[in-house]
Amino acid sequence: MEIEELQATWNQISEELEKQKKLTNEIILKMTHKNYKDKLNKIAIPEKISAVFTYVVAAILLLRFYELDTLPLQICGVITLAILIVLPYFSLKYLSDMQNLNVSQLSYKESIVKHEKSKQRYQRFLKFSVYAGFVLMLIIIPVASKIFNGDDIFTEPQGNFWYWFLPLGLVFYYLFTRKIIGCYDSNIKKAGMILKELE
Amino acid sequence: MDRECEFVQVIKANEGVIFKITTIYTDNREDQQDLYQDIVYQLWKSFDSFRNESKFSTWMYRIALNTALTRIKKNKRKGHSVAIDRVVLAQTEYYNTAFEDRIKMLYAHIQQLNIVEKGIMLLLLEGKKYDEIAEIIGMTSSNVGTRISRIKEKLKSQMVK
Repeated sequence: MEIEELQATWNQISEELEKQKKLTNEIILKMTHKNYKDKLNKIAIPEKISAVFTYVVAAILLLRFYELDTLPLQICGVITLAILIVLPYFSLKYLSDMQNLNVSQLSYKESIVKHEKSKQRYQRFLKFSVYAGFVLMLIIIPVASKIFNGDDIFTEPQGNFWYWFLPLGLVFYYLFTRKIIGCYDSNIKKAGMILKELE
Repeated sequence: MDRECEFVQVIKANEGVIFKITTIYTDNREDQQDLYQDIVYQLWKSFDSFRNESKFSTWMYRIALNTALTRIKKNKRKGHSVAIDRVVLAQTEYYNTAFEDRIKMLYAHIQQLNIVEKGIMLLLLEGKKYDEIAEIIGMTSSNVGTRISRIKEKLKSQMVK
């Protein structure tokens, strides 16, 4: 298929679409009155749900923070709180930055540049979240153990808990996040290539 | 004529154009319909800001392409499939397997292009002059010319393969 043939096929499609117009005034007005953005932003729904869940956990931790009565537990508690509060906030912020461009003011090129930069930033953030998730997985155990069971893992003997949990956690995390990290890296690289092309 | 009536007329006159843009930037019917609605919504939201400083079509393509750009969802596993009913709504006088094959091939070629090239290619197929493409995309006309030559080369090499 030559370029001219592509053009001819496109023209045929255009002609057919002209003949098959089917939008009514009512349908168009309905589209102008209803904000379909939320429907299209369903990609952010899992992030929104996890943010609510995370903030509930953070609120519980905050309310019972006084139960963390030793310095190591308090340090773990503060880091846990920081991760639980900061990660969902930035996740939603970066997602929204990526989707909310001023579509009427920017040129296509400017939109691509903004969009790809936001995408790169979001992918870097997701990569960081994977590492932060690992830290959270480790430090939330003493915190949760103290708050929900009254056990202080740091002072009370826990058998071989840290001996098997830490290496097992590392292996689990490595296996399950290797592909995800690779995917984020590839997306960052692709966005970088587009930005470079537009420089 | 009030603004709503004016807007309805504009959309009716350009419904085919919006349809073609949504076909290129989505990979299934549901996303296509959502994008169509969002483009109309964004056009309506910005309709009052259109001040005849540029051609209406320039303004419309810019908003439609920018909206499409921010709504792209990647679904690599499924790939980009174009069913005939997603491109042309009903059985047509052209409708035959050869036409369907040509449409599929056309979209397959467009999907090989990156996001910048895709926008330029769409406008080129729409019969836009270099100047207008440059205004919509936000590049100089000579830059658009260079990129179109590259796109043609790229498509040619795809066709040879």
